[in-house]
Amino acid sequence: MSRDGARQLLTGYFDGGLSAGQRQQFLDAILAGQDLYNAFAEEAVLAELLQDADFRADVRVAVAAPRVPFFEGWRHGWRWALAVAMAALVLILAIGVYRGRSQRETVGDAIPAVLTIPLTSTERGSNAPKHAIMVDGYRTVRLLMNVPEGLYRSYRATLRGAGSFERKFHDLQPRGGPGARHLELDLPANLLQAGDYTVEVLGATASGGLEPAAGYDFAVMRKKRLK
Amino acid sequence: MDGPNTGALDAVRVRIVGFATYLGCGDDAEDIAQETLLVLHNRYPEVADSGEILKLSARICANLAMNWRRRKSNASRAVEIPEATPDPAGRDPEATLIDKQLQQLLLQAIRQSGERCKELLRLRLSGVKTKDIAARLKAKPSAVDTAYFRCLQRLRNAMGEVR
Repeated sequence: MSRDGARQLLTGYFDGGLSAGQRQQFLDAILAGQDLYNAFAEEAVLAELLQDADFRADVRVAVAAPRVPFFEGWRHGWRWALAVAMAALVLILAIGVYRGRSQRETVGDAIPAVLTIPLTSTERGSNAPKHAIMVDGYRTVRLLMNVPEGLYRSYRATLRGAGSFERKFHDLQPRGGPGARHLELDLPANLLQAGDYTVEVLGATASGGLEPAAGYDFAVMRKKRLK
Repeated sequence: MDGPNTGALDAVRVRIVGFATYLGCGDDAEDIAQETLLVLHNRYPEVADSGEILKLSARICANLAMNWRRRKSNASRAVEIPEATPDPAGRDPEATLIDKQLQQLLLQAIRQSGERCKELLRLRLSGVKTKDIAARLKAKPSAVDTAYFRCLQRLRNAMGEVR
């Protein structure tokens, strides 16, 4: 007799579902094999213990189906639907964030990378208000300065700012072709911190000497950062 | 040993020794089997059905084995029943007490068992037949039987651990 067959007979024996012939066949099998007898004996012990009504009630409680939490009780289809909905929501949010960022970048790109500032020469002792520039959002600041026409071979400029900031420009030539009258100084915008600046321009004479040609004042402003 | 069930007792003795060994009685399995047969002969002389004899022998052997194990591990925990104690239900008082202990152990083991085992026990306890359990679980009856006996095996092992 196969093990499965013996087990079916064992189950049937305690279910009371065996014919007289099957029952005798089963009892013979029990005496023929120790494993089957052991299984039978365990079932017999359990069956007799379960005849006690109190114990039976305790066992019923112990094997009672656990309460299913609300979300666990959902069918798999609902859980899949929820998962898909969540994924769609995340995707929509991601697209929204991406588009918002793209729009901001488009606006940012619309701002010229170079801020061109024409400066007006200041008279010594003048109380005229300084030219104030806001350099935030630019990569380069280009200072345009009018210079006297045809007096000098070249120019040298010194930019000074708050503290010890100083930057020198050598061998500057007026731009704009023949008759050009302005110099261009290009500066990385991030070098210019908020504060007052002066540009001193020296002209190189034909004899090789340098003499003051012009002076400019301006102020740099920065957006206040929120703390 | 006299009586109408003497032949059946002789036939089942080998299996009782094997069962006592299976329950962990080792070298004392022979003694427990002998005691099982004595109890069977003395207390149930009228039982002649071989199926009933086998069931009774299993129950008596299990009780004796359990008490033997308790006596072995801790003598103070062994059940000692005075001979003169009357049993109002007409049953053996020692067996009754051991049954209670077995019930507690089994209950504890069931609580610690897996959901699959509990489900099978729940269905069996409700009187659902194997083929119906198989249909409900969409499994073969043989698979249900196998799972059920594995469950019983685990319960027995768990009972051994909690003793």
